[in-house]
Amino acid sequence: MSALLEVEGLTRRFGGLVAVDGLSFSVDAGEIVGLLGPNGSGKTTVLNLLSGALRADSGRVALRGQAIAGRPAHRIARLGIARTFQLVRPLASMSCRDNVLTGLAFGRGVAWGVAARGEAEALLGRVGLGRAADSLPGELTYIDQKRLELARALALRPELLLLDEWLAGLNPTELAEGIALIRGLSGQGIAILLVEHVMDAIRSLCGRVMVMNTGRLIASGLPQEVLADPEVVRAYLGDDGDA
Amino acid sequence: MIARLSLAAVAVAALACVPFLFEAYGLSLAINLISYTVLATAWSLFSGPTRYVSLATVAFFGIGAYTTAVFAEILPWPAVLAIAAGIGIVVAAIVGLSTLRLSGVYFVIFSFGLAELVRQLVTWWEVNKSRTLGRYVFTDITAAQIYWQLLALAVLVFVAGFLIGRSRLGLALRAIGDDETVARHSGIDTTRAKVALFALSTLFMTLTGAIMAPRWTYIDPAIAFNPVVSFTVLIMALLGGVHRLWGPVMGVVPLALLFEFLLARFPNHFSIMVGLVFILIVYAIPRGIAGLVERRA
Repeated sequence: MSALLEVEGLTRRFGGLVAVDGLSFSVDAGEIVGLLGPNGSGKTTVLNLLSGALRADSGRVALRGQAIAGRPAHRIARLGIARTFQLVRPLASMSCRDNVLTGLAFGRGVAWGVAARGEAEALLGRVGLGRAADSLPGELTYIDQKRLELARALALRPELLLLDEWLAGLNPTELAEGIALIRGLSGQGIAILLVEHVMDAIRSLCGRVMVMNTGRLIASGLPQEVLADPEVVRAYLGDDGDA
Repeated sequence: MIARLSLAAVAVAALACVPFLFEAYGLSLAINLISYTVLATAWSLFSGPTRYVSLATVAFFGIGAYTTAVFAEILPWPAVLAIAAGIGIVVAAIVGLSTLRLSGVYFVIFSFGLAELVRQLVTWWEVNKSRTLGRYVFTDITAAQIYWQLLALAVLVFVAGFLIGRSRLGLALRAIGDDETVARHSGIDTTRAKVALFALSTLFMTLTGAIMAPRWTYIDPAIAFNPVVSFTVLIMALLGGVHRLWGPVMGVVPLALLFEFLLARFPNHFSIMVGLVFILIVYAIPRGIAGLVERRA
C-alpha cells in the first residue's frame, strides 16, 4: 500500500529566500510524524504549502495518489487535509458550536441540520469543550480556544491533520490530556503531522520525526536517534550553544 | 414561529393599505421609506456578514433605472424588470469575480469607483451614441403601483435573508466575515459564496432602481447614479445594525424622515448636516440600533 501523503521536491521561495528547498517525505495513514527545526527553518511554510494556503514553486504533493499541489485551500480541506494555526484563529463572532459546524458543513461528507448540530456537540465533547457549545470563543481560555480549533479541524473528517504548535503553552496536566487526545486521533486512523517544540510530546507521540534547517530536511528517523544527531544539535543550539 | 409569521403577514397587509390612506405626499414618503428599506436590507445581506463595505449600491440602482428608461416604452413591464435583473446579475458576477479578492479598504474604493465608472460609461454612450443628455420616462405606472411593487420586493428581500441565515451559505458568509483564511481551510469556496451573495444583494438594488425610475419623468446619469444614494444606504444600514435581518429598517425609518426634514428646512446646509449625522452614528452607535436593543434585552 502506498503512503497517504507523498511529497517530492517541494520548493517555495520568498524573493531570494528559499524557505522550503526540495523537500521530500511521506506520511502513512494513522502515523504521527513530528516536524522539527529551529525558528525560521520553514516548518510552518511546509504546512501552508500542504494545506493550500501557499502555492509551491515546484514539487509534487499527492494525497492517496491524487496530486493536490496548487489546488485552492478549500479543495484540499474537502479532500481530507485539515489544519490548525500557530496562533489560534477561532471564528470570533460565532458560537463554539457554529465554529465546528463550519467544518462539518463544508468538509468531507457534508453534514447539515439537526444531525450536524449533534455531531458538532459530540466533537466539542471529545476535545473537552462539551459545556461550551453556546459560548463565544472570546469567553474561552487560550487553551480552550486551541481545543476549539482542533474540534473545527476534526469536523472536516480529515485523513491528515496538520498541527502547528498545537501543544505549545499548555501546562503539564493539559499537555498530558493533549497528548492523549492526539494519540486517540491517530488510533482512529487519522495521520498527524505536527510541528512542535515540546520535546516530551514529540518523544511520547511520534514514531518518526523529521528535522528541517534553512528549508532542507537534515535528519529523519526515530525521535531518540534524530535528537541525538550532532547536526540536529548544531542546528538547534548553534556552535556557541547559547540556548 | 407561527405567531411571528402571522405578525409579519398582518404588517405586510397593513402596509399594502398605505396607498388608500395617504395623499400624494404621504405616499411619496412611503415610497421613499420602502425603497430605502429594500436597498439597505439588500446591502446588509452581503456587507453585514462578509464585512465588505460596498459603495456600489447606486451603480446597480442606476443600471435598473436606466433599463426602465430605455425599455419601458417598447416592452411590457415584466420584460423590463427581467432585463434589468439580467443586466444586474451579469455586472455583479463580473465585478464580484474580479474584485471580491480585494480586501478591506481596497474593496470600498473599488466599489465607489465602479459606480462612477458605470456613470461615465452611460454618459459617454448617451452623448456619443444616443445623442441625448437625458431621457424621459413615460409609463402609465402609478405611484401606488410603484409602492406595491417595492413592498413585494421588500417581502422578497426579507424572505431571502431569512432563508440565507438558516442555510450553509449563511454560515459560510459569517465564517468569511470573521476570518477568510480559516473559512478557506474549513472547506468553504469563499469566492463562490461571496459572488453568489453579492449577485443576490445587487439584484434587489437593480430591481429597486428599475421600479423607482417612473417616479422621475426625466433621468440623466447624474440623477440615476447619484453617489449620495450609496452613502445614504450605507449609513442607514449601519445605524440600524447589520447583524440582524431587521436591523437596517430600524435605521431607514429615522434617517429617511430626518433627511426629509433637513431637506425641507435646511436645503442649503443639507450636506453638512448629513455629514454630521454620519459621524455621530459611527462614533455613538457602532453596533447600530439593533445592537442597542439587544444589549438592553
